[in-house]
Amino acid sequence: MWTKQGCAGTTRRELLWQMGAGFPALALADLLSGDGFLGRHAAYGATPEATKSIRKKAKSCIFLFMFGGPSQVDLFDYKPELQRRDGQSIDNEFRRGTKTKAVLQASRRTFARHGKSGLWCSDALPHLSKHMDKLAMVHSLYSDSFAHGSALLQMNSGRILQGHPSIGAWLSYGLGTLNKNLPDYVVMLDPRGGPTTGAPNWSSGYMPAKYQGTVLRGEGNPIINLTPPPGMTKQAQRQEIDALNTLNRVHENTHQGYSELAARISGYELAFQLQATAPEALDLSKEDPRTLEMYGIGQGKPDWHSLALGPSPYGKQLLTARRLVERGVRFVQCYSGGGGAGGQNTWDGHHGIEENLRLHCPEIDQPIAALLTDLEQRGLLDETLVVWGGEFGRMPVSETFNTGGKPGGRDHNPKGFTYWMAGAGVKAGTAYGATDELGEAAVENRHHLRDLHATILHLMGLDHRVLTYFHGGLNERLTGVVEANVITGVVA
Amino acid sequence: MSLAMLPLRIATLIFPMLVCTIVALAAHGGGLQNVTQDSRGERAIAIRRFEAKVRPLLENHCIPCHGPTAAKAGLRLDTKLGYATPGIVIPGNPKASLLIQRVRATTNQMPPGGHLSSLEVDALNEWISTGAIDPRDLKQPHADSGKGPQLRARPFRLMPTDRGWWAFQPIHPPASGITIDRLIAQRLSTRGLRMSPVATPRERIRRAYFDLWGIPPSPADVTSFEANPSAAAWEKVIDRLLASPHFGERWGRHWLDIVRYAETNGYERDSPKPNAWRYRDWVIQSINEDKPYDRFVMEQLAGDELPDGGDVGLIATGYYRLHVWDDEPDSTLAAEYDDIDDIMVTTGAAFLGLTIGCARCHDHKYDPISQRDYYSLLAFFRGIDPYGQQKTGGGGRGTGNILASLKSNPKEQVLCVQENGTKLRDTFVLLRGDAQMPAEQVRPVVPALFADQGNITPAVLGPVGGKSSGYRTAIARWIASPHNPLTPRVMANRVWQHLFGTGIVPTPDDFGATGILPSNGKLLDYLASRLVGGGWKLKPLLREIMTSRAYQQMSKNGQPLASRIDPENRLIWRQSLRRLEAEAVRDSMLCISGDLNTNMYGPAVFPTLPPDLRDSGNPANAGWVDSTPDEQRRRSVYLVVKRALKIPLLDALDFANSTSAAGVRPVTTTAPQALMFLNDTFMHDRAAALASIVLKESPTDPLGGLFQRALQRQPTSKERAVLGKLSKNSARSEDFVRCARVVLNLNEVIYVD
Repeated sequence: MWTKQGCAGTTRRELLWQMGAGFPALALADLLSGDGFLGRHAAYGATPEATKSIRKKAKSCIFLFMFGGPSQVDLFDYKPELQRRDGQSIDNEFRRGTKTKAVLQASRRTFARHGKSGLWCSDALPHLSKHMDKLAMVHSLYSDSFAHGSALLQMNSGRILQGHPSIGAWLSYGLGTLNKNLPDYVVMLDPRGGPTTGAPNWSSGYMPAKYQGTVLRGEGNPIINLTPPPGMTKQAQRQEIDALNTLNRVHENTHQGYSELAARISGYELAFQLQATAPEALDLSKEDPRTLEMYGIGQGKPDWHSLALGPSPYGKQLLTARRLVERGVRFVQCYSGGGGAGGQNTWDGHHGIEENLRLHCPEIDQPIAALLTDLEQRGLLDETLVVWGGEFGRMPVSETFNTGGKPGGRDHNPKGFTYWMAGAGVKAGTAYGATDELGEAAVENRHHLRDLHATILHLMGLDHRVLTYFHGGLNERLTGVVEANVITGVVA
Repeated sequence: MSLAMLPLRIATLIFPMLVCTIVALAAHGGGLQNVTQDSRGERAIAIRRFEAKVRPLLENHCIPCHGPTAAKAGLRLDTKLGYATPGIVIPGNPKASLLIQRVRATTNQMPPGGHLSSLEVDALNEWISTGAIDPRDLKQPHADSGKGPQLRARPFRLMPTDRGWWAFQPIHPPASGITIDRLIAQRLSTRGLRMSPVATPRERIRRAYFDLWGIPPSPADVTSFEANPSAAAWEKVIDRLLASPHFGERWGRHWLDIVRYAETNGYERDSPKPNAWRYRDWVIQSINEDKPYDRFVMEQLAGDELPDGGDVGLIATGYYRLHVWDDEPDSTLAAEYDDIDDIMVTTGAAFLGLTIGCARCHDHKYDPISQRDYYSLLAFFRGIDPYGQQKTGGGGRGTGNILASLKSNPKEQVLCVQENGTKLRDTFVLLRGDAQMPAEQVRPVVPALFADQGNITPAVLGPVGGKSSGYRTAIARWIASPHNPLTPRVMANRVWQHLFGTGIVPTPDDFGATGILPSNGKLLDYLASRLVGGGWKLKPLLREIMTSRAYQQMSKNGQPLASRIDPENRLIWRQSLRRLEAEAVRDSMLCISGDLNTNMYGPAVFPTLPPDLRDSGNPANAGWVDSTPDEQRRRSVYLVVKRALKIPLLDALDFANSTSAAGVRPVTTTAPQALMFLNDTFMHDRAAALASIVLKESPTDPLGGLFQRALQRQPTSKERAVLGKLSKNSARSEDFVRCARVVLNLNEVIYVD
């Protein structure tokens, strides 16, 4: 969580010294540089040589998580062969180790090349397609699980087993804080609910709880206990904290050498400030109306489908994300799709991929395009990494299990799927790797998703081989014990 | 600015400013050394960083000349003491530290053979700038100290020295006449130190209550002990506390951390583990009746197989059902091994202090446990049918049929272990841990390291009652044997940890090479001997420790020399100020406000969640039915433990992670905690209840009554003055509740001397 150890002293620098004791000193270096004090310093564990190659190190990461598993063959991974062979029967591995006959289902979308880069994008995402020159596509990712629960955990924590720290926790642990008044790691959920498995997706696992993600809520209190109960005024609370501080300091003076007492005193101060600074960071009302409009905020719910939300909720998430990274938040994860998996409330298009795309693409398309524009206009794209993807992709064959026998659904597919990245350090306008001619499995420049994690860490200035946490007799890494490699093909 | 310019800029601009900062800090309060003495979680991180980055480079580059064999220039870098000469390492000030100056020097640079890489210099720099935390033992440098974990030679081969590892040696029986206090005093005297004075009677009785019950004493309890703080009265206090059922509620929770107790499976559906609470109640009951620890082990591992196990034994085997369980794994075969691995890892950590799981995919890199040993141990558990999986074959993930009926009442069902017959399934070494790559077949035998220690080889029993193989009884007997060198040490260390804040071995789940060495090995062996010699009963051991002079010391830093030589108090020259754990904080608040419902046992209590959490669409919310307000005021050990949705109040205060064995909880201090203390409805309800009960009990001196309830002392004149200003009319409850709120938030309430 935010604010590491607090401080007994009053100057910013004293605070930094004390905070430096709490997490890797790179964070300290970063803090000092954030203060205009030290300039850029070599990343923790990275050699100066390695750091030189990272021309632009991302300060923050916005992870756009399409919960349910978006369909690569309908969005970015254009497969003429699939289009040609629509309706043909193939042997398909529907769950690990089981082959069944299945019918190929061409995308009902129209694909085109866009921008100078000529990257493919379907007409499902008309706004985003104008930004293809900013993106680096990885078409050749694969992972280890066909099921939502373990696949989500793996995308977030590197493991299909529950109990490991999520990538945001690793970044928080490895990089430390840039803004003591806000969490390092923020998670925003779809109004339809959280992802399957819930909080373990943003858990700190075996690390201390302060590294875990803080869920910001769209309605009501954005952070638990951020506002006092009714009847308590700010002034009254201030008086109580003053009294508390006075008495706690007397106690502290009789307990020399226990710095946690001072830390708790400053914790109350920070908490009091947070009640003002956090709402300010989240308050979209001061934004230019044109900005709100650009993100699609205020557009009503479409009426053609009871689950449709339109772009407004995700637009609010992404505009909030921009405000948070502006204020130094390290990792912001924005979920699209929520509630239990298996229905059209998420990207889990078993019940009909077309309906699913019509529901969810308009919800994210305009907001993501706006985010990229906004970050660029504010000069933030150079220091912000944007990552888009889900827990897996989808099959090129039709799923009829959930559609009453009618073709139209698509099942899970961890064997080949697409992620894209944009922003700091990313080789913009790149398409890298490929699935087979039908879009089913990664075949060219294949990368396990641990390589995606290594790449994200790399772009954030961290070396996945060096960023370790000692637990259970092992120096644990986000990328696990199997060797992982940065996907250099998408790194500028 | 280019990187190349950086050093210059640091030197010219920053360095003088930092020096000023350090001077200012040193003048302020306890100085830098104290600044870095953060909570245990922070320290643990600093130690990990040291182990990962600093120790290896010292060993590679420095210790060959500045270590046990050479010690050139009188400098040794293999222990903390070896560089204690002022100026070599100045915590917080790398620039001024001779060590940094010499590795950065252009002439006579160290090490002489070749420069440290910039990465290594950075690591040293970082280490010193963040306080130079060095966990290496303080004892006089000798030939063996300072060796970090050494990578084992490959291929795996047991070495004669493996037996020599301290934790694998037989427990040394204590010399006659030895006591805890003598062992500590001896250790202190080698460093010219002595114990601190005894704490005040109030501090001592509060410490005993929090340690044994997790709630504060009543004002009357404190007053009467203060009136007669004799040794006999102290013993009476301890006996009374140990005899109360509150003791099991407090210490049972410690065990639940280690077995990663939770009442749901985690993953996508976070489905419930039906009747898991019976296992929780079994733990509490076992501790309250002072069940011998060997029996406690036996029942959990093999209660269903024991001839006299009965219903109690069956319930205890709920131990095997506590792990996370994926109902829809990618591969059911791999998942089956993941389940058993989770049980193996927890069993290794909980009972043996061994990181067995490291040998799942390859031989252990540091400890003498081969991959073959891992699978040979796993074979003992091959009869277990996790979640009925074996009955459904390879395709499904089990029947979920994990309950059995109690013999005494067939209508009552219990979460328990299950085997499907007397035959163990075949077990193979799995290459790289991959279930698809079975290699050599293995039999159930204990690790080769222990194989020829005669009397600790398990006598494999015949099949038990036709239902199971009996192999779990065999491994349980080996673990619970008085001759097992690990089991008694590991448990004695846990007991010590919960009475002093840190174990004699600070890594209670890892007694291997990657753990931290005992600060006082003789003391640990003494305690382990007393545990076994006393019939494995915990209460007499606790009683002996708590009646020692060492336990009763004050926690204040009254010895400047000791603070300097041993700031971490590993030699136990004082007690330690400790923050209460999450449950003890909540229970104390309920107790102080007069709201605590002391009913014991039964199904989990569901507290009302903050409204923001209720409707977040999390599947974990499904089936969450708030318990009655009365129920919600029960002790925290009875609150539901759901893996997908931790109770925010407990979670904020570092509640157990509940997915892996955790003998130590991190202690973090964060702003969200303060938000919780300031704004949570629970806290406001407690303040209101406290104000109203105090106004009733002490209408003439409400402030006095308030301090008595919360802290069992009278307020000072300063406290009266500060709170008096806050509450113009203390007889009015609307005003007085503000005082109550401030008092509940005092550090003194949750930090115990």
